[in-house]
Amino acid sequence: MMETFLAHPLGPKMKERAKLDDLVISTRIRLARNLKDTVFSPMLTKEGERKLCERIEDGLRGLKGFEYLHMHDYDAITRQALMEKHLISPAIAENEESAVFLSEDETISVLVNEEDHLRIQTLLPGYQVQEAFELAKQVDVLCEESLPYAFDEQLGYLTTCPSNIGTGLRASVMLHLPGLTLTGRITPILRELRKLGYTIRGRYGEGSDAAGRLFQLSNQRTLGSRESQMLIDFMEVTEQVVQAERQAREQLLASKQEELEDRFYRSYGILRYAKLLSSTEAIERLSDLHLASDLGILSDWSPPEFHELIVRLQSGFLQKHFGKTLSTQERDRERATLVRRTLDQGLV
Amino acid sequence: MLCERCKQRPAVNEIVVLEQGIPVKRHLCRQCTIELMTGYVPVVKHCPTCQMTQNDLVRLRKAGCATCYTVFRDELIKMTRQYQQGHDQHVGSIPVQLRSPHERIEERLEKLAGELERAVELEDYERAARLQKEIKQLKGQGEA
Repeated sequence: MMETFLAHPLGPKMKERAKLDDLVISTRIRLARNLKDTVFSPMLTKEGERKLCERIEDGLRGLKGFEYLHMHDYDAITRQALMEKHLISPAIAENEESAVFLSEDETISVLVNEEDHLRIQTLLPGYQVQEAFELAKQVDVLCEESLPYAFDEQLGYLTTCPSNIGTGLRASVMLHLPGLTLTGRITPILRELRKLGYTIRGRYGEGSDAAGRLFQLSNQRTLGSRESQMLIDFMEVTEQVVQAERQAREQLLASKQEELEDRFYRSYGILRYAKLLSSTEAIERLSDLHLASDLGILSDWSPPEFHELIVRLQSGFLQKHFGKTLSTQERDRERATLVRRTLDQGLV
Repeated sequence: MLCERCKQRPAVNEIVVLEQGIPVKRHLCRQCTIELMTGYVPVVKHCPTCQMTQNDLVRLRKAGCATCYTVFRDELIKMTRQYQQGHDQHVGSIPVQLRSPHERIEERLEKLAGELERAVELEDYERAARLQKEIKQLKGQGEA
């Protein structure tokens, strides 16, 4: 079953076109939950983690259309590739005594032994905050039937770290913001967002950089408002960023069309002829083509096609494709070959 | 590996101890090591369920289990306020099992009202009409 999940860079749902998908690549919702009768992750032994996996596997056996994948059954490259598809988190990829219940359409992941016992995560293409939340809530109610949640009248759902307490709700969108990056307007916007209580960071979350002008925007506060209000506030902020990006693109097109076109064709040239491509450079150049395509200048690729290629070019996915560990240089070579071949099939 | 003495915390030291006059190698946790070597049993507040001490809590800034939220309540609420922009009161959803029938209806109504608002925004009047009908029915149940 794992092979099915890794046969394609994007799951069936992620390939579909969705609202605002030229700027909002994907939407994720996460609910953090713990069991009241089991010690939390900082005090849990490996043996305890094993037992928790078994217990949750048993408790959620009734979930229809889900596959249970225990991380100790898979090698590091496989786990990394799953992470690159955002189906599991980096913490799950690193912990052999962790597991995931993955829905067949790859929209729902129930992560076991993350920082919290359970992290219910939903992933949809484009801008679908409400839809992703509804999906997560449905799974939450199902999990609750067989697992006793730790809940406190004052503090809500109890989590390992008080930064997730209350609703346990984290909404995030992955945004492609080349306009704001190229005009330099991103810096004050990032500052403003942080002031408003939102986090914005690179595409793989904590500690990763914003390669390819891809940013992950999420709410920081999880306590003190109803879920519905949190989502409304989050959507308002997201839509403002989207609006600012559109304005920045218009401005670029109006004032720097020639430089912009020059940039796009240079990037195309590099992708078309380079012999070695690092992951960062490939994503940066593809981001240019993506923007060019959005502006109707260069190509007729759809946003999911860019997204698919970006996942395919990640180290884990690339090595999974070749079925072996590759050195950095080998990876850069194979990455360049893959991009060349893809472009051979036509873009301009 | 668990501590061979308390059998609760992870062993971090390998210590030779005298058991009935015979030296024996034992794997011990930090607290048991201190207790055995000094004979001093510290009066540090700790959680009876997960054995997390107040020092652990301050260092990790994380709770060790649900009971920690009772044992270290003041500390954890203080941390919560720091993380949650001053908030310390949950107003969101609660587990279904803890909800009264009235609350369940209220929650559903609130959700439908949100959906209705969005449907009107999107000018999907057919859906809006359906939602309105459902809201009316639910309100009837709530009053009954």
